[in-house]
Amino acid sequence: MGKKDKQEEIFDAFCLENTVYFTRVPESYKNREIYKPLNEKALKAFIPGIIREMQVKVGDIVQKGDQLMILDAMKMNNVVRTLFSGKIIAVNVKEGDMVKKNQIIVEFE
Amino acid sequence: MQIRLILLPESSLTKNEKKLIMSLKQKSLDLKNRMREALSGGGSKAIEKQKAVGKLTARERIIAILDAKSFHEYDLFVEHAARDFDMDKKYLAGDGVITGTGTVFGHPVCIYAQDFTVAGGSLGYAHAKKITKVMDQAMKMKVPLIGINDSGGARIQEGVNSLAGYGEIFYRNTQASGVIPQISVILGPCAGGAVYSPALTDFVFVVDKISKMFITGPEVIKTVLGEDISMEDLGGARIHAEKTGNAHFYAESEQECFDQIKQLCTYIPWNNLKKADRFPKKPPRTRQYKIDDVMPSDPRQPYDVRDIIKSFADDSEFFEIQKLWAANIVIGFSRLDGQTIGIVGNQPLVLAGVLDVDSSDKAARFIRYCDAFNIPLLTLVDLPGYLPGVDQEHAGVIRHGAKILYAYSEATVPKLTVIMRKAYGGGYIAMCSHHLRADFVFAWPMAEIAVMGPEGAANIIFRNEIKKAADPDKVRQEKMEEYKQKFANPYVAAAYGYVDAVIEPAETRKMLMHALDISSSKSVDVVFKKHGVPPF
Repeated sequence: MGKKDKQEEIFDAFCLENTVYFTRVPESYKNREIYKPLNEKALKAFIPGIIREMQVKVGDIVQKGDQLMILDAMKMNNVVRTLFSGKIIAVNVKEGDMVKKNQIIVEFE
Repeated sequence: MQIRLILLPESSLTKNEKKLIMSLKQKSLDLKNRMREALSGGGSKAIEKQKAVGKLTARERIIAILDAKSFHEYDLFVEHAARDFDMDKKYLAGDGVITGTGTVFGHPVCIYAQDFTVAGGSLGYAHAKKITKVMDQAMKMKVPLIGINDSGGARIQEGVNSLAGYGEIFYRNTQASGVIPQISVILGPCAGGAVYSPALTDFVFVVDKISKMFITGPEVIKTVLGEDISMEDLGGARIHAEKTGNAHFYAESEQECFDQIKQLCTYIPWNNLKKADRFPKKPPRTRQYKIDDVMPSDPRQPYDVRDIIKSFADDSEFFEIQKLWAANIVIGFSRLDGQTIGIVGNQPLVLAGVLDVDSSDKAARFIRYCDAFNIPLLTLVDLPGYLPGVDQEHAGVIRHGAKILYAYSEATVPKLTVIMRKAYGGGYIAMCSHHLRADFVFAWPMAEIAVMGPEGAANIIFRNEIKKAADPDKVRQEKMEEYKQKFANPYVAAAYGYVDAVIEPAETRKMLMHALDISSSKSVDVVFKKHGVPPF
């Protein structure tokens, strides 16, 4: 690649420690997942699977560590416990439903 | 193969002699028939199917890689001994794998190729035994092993015996690691446990639309996780070359792949006790690649580090490895003075050349390869440091970054370093500094060797002055300039002896060739240990 070809390319501006560098920034970096702190109002499925047994309903008040449901995944019956205490305002899944990883299954007040 | 008979006039032969000649002829014919059957693989229909998807047959592949007429096949008549599920009634030619020896550019190699036309190249006990036998041979004779993978996976009918087969292969891959070069060529499916043999070897070659590698296939993923993905997007050649880093070489066709394998063979030694072949020394094509043209005057502007390599390497050649993955670091082979060298270079063209999880991983493994096989290392430094970010920290940049430190510190081959521009902070230490026992560290006059970039440093050191100033921006600028003048150069490091010589870029080739020459009998006393515990 000669000098000429280089001038034709438009580079991304990439800032590190207060210095801007002109460089190629790969799509994988641009599209990386931006970190979000844990939302204490929504419990997500930690593994994909099928809901086998629902043990709570809307309006229930639960304590951190309480059992909410059984999630059948990876040939195991996984007990789903709540990470948060509080009143359940929505249960987004029912028995027999297939859930994806990180799908919001229970919402708290 | 022929048995030659001296024919006498029939009338002069006794009855017994006539009988003997007949039986010899018959035996020769019998061998021919047996060979014909075994060489027919899975039969014309299966071969047609293989060709229809653009694949060569296993035997054609071996012949394409090896020197003409050099292939010698063994274990052609090996048959499986499975009894269950009607397997006793099934004849599988060569049990679905071809093994043998041959030469590449006149040097002997051991080779095997799974034959997809025979029971989908599935791995049963006899199949695995053929592979492990040729692996043992490669280890005994200290010659490289080339494995061509094209298999549907374990032969389910053989149950735990096929698992045993895989295990025996993995064990040998590990034992052979660092002793003989191991090359894996993925020319078809390579799924489930089978992927771990290539993963344990030194170099993995993939071909677009032909190679497929994954632990669990799209079907399982769909049933278990509900995620819908094609085989190509899950574990196609491009994915492994670009995203996972499992593949080292990517080709558009099988022929291109074979050419890459042969080219690689010119750079590597045949075992860990040898050195790579020395080639006639050739000057770089400096009219095309001139350091002064490549290097921009503004240190924030990018350039392609590969053009720098080409400006001093023999014949301006650079054989790049893992070109598409973690492109912010460049690794590959070149020659200086006719000798193979392994080059690790920060790539300012991509992400300003930062170190991150993937680039650390990529460089570290290559450094260990070069060290295991007596290939001198050249490190070209121009990086602003490590990539900041939650994703990097959470992906374990500490653990992965440590691999580079470990690999460089452990390496005892000649280690040459050229600091071209920026060498800041942890990145300076990691990129084969004297502190990690580089043998020679050269710096160009525009090098900036410092604890961090001038902008960042000025903000920290002169924080109070800047805060108190009537015009903070002006003071910041002044302080930055002051810092730049004082520290953003190679002379502070040179004053401590951390840089051996500050050289003109145009002198690089001469200095490196001399350094290589001086290092040719380098020996380092290594503390006895079984092995280290690297952060791998």
